[in-house]
Amino acid sequence: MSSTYDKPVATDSHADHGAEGHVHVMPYDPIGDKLGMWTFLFGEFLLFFGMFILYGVYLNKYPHAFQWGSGHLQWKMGMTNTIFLVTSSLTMVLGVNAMQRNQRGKSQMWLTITLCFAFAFFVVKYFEWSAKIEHGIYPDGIFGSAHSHLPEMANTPVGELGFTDEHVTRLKADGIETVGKGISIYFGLYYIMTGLHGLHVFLGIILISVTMVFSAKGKITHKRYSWLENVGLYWHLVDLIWIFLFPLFYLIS
Amino acid sequence: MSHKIEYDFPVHHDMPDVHIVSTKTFVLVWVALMFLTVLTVTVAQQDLGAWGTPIALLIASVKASFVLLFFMHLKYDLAMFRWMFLAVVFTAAIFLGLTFVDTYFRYRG
Repeated sequence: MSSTYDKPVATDSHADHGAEGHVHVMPYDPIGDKLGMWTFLFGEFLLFFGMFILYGVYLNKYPHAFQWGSGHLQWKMGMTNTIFLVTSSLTMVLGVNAMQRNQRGKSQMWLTITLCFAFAFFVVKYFEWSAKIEHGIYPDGIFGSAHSHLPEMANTPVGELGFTDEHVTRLKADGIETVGKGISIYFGLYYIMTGLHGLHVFLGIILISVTMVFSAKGKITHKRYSWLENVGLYWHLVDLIWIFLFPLFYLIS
Repeated sequence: MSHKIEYDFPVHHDMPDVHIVSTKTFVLVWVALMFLTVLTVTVAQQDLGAWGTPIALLIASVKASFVLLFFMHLKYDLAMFRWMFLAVVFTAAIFLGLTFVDTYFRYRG
């Protein structure tokens, strides 16, 4: 089967092809394709790694603020999303596997299920984030330093926001006298890291959808599936990042 | 299971054999990942003091290894990909190690 991936590439004018109108066709090179994908994924890894470093440094500086913040996330929602993403990784890899076996229908079915899990992830995220926002926990919210409606909140002593005496003692041991300090850093990192991860899930949805169109058009076959394989690698990376985000944000309380 | 493909379009001169992993292997990896997810939640509910975060990270690393080796195919791919991955982890480890040597002592000075 000829494939539309064979993009004709105009060769150098001095190339010795002889026959007029001859174009050089880029040969299919799955290892080269995969090498490019992994290089991109390493860049993605380092992007998140920098944030994990930031997280680690501040966890070390404000351990009790981070524990308090973590206690205000719903770990059951985090765990549900972990199950969704890990299972979607399985269905993704089964989609690639089915294509390798020349089972296009099955491959598309697995990709559809992967998409469903990706959407389910967002449904959980929606409920989780809207609950946070309702409680005023959002960037520059009640823990922010410059909230226009509650400028005094950041300077509120830690004891006045539903903290137990034990929490107050621990937070003060970290040098946190007001809620604007370590707690706002925790929720700031929570939003930026899970937010950037969520953006990757969103891009994954687009990529998987495009892949399904390619698959339906016959551009992806059992002999030529490096696009599908690379989208799979991307999706597994999204899962991989969540595997670390989940315990660090939800389970340290 | 590996097999050669007869290509009927232009391909790179050095094409690898295609390795197809059994569905059973993937399902078993998924079961292991589910078990480790439950384990990390269960462990987090115990009072482990300072060990809580290292243990959680250890379990996450085991989970990540399963995803990398099987789902991301590193176990079956060319050794080049494994070496590339290790080079990246090594670089990250240096960065991580030096950062924490700094911060650990700085806040205890």
